[in-house]
Amino acid sequence: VIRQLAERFLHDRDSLDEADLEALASGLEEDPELAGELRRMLVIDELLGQCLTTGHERLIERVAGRLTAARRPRSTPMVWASLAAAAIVLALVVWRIPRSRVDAPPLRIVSTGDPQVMHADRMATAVDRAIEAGDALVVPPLGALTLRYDDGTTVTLGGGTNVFFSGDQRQQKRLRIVRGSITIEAVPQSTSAPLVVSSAVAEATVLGTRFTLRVQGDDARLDVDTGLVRFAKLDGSEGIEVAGGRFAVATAGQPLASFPRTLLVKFGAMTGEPPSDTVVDTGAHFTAERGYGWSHPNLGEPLPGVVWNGWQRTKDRIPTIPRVPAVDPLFDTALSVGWANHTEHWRMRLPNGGYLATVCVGDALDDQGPHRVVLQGAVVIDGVLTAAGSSHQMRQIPVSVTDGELTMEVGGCSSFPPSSDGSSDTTIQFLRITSVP
Amino acid sequence: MADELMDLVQETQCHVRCYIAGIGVPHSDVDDIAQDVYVEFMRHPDRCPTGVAPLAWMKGIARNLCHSYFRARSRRGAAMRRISDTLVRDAERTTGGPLTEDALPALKRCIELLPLQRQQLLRRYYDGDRDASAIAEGMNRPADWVRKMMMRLRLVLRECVERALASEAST
Repeated sequence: VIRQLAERFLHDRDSLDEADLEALASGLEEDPELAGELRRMLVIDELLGQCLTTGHERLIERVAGRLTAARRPRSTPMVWASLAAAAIVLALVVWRIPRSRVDAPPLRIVSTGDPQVMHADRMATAVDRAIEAGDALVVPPLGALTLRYDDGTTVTLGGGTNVFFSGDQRQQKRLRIVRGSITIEAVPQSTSAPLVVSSAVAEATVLGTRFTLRVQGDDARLDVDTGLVRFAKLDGSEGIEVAGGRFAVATAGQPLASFPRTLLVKFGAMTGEPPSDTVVDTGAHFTAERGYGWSHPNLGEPLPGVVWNGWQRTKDRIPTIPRVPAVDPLFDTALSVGWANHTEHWRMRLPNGGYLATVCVGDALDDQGPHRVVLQGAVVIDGVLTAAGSSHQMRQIPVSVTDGELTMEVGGCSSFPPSSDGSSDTTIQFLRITSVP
Repeated sequence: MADELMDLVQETQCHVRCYIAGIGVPHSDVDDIAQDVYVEFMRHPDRCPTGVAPLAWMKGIARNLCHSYFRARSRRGAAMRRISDTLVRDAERTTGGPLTEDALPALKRCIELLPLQRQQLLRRYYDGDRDASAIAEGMNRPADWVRKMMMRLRLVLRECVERALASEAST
C-alpha cells in the first residue's frame, strides 16, 4: 500500500488526501529504503525535466533580475524631490551642450524579429533600447536579435542564444555567451580596450573582423570570416590567432588549433605544389605532430595469401603512378590501400563537430576496385569498380566527430568480384572535409 | 557580479534543483525555490562560513526554504513536512551516492537508447504539462497506461543511469 502511495506521490500527487500523505509519511519513516527509492525517482524526474524541457536555463536571468530589482532605491518623497531638481539641472545643462557631445548609450538593440527577448527581469521589445551593465538577453529558439555599438560594430544573436553584458560597455565591450551563437562584425578595435566575447571555457578578443562564436555543450567554437581573432581558453593555456576562413574549437583537455573550414586530404603523390588548405598523404604512419596518417608504418610486411601478377603484395600503402601527361592533379594519383581480405585504418585529429565528407576513389592509369571506404563507422563506398582513365567515383556523407578524431577504414571488400586485372585494392584519391557548424 | 552569479548558477543549478525536487517539492515550484536559494545566497554571501562549500551552504538554504514552503501549505503541510524530513535524511545519508546530480550526460545517453516511441512519449510528458490524462486522450489510451508507462520509463532510466555512473566510477 505504501509503495502504491509512493508511486502516486510521484505521478499524481494531487490525488493524495491528507490521510494518504500521513500514511505515506509514516511508511517512509519506517522504511528508509523505500524513502531512498522515492527520492531517487524524484531526482530522476527532475533530471528528465532538465533534459527534455526548456526554460530552466532562464534561472540565471530571473535571479539577476530579482537581485537588480532589490538594489533599486525605494521611492520616497525626498528622493522624488531630489530627482526633480536633478532633472531640471540636467535639462539646462543638456540644452547648453551641443547635441553631438551628449554621451550616447554605447550599445543598443537595433532590430528584433521576436518580441520575446528578455532583458534582465523585464521584457525588451522596443528597438533602440540601451543595454546596461549586468543585463542579460535570451533569444528564443526561433528568434534573432541585432545590437549595435556606437562605433558601428554589430552583434547578432542567433536563436536560442543567452548572453550577459557583464560590465559597463563604455569602459569595455565585454559579452559572455552562455549558449547559442553570436556573430560579430567589428570595426577595428582599440588595442587597449578591445571587444571580448567569452564563454565558460574560452574567450575571443576581436581586433576588427567578422566572426561567430558558438557554445556547443561544453565546447566553444569560433568561426572567423574575415580578419584575425585571438582565441584563448580560460584555463591559462596559450591562445592562438584564428585567421579568416578558419575555425577553432575550445574543448576541455585538448590543445587549441585552428583548421580551415574546408580541408582537402590528397592521397598519393601530388603533382605540382599543393594548394592552400591541402595536405598530402603518401601513406605514412600517423604522427601527433602531423595530426593525420595510418595506423602502422610501411614495413614491407607480406600480406598472406595475396599474390598478384606474381608479386607478393605487402601491407604497405603505395602511391599509384601519375599519368603522363597528367590529368587534373586531384584525380591524377591515388593511394593503393588494403585488399579484399585486408583493411587499413587512417585517422586525423579534428575538432569535435559536424562535417560533410567527400571521398573519391579511382585511378587515372588502371582499372581498380572493388573499392571500400568506411568513415566514422559508416560505409561510404562499397564494391565500386572504376575504369582506367579519369573515371572516378565520389560519394558524400555527413559525419560527426565527438572524440577529436576522424577515422577511416579502407579496403576489405571481399564480397564483390575483383577488377579486370584480378586486383582488389582500393585506390583512394582524396578526402574533402567541410566543417558544418 | 553578473559573471560571479552566472558561474555559480551554471555550476550548481542542476544540484540545487535536484536537491529541492528530491525532498518532495512539486516540479512546478522547484524553479521558484531555486531562485529564492540563489537570491538569498547572493544577498548574503558572507554568511557562508569559511571552509564550507557554497553548494553545501545553498543546500542548507534550500532545506530551510522547503520547510517554510510546506509549512505555508497548512492543510497538507504537516504530512508533507514529515515526508520531506525523511527525504532530507536520506539525501544527507547518501550524499555522493551513485545517482547524484552529475547524471545528466548519462541520462541523455540512456534516453537515446530507448525505442523512438518511448522517447517521444517522454518528451510529450516532460515538455508539456506532465498531464497523463491529456497525453492519454491524444493516444487513445487510458490515463493509467500513460502513468504506468512513465513509471516504468523512470525506473528503466534510473537503473541505466546508475549502471553508467557505477561503470564510470570503476574505470
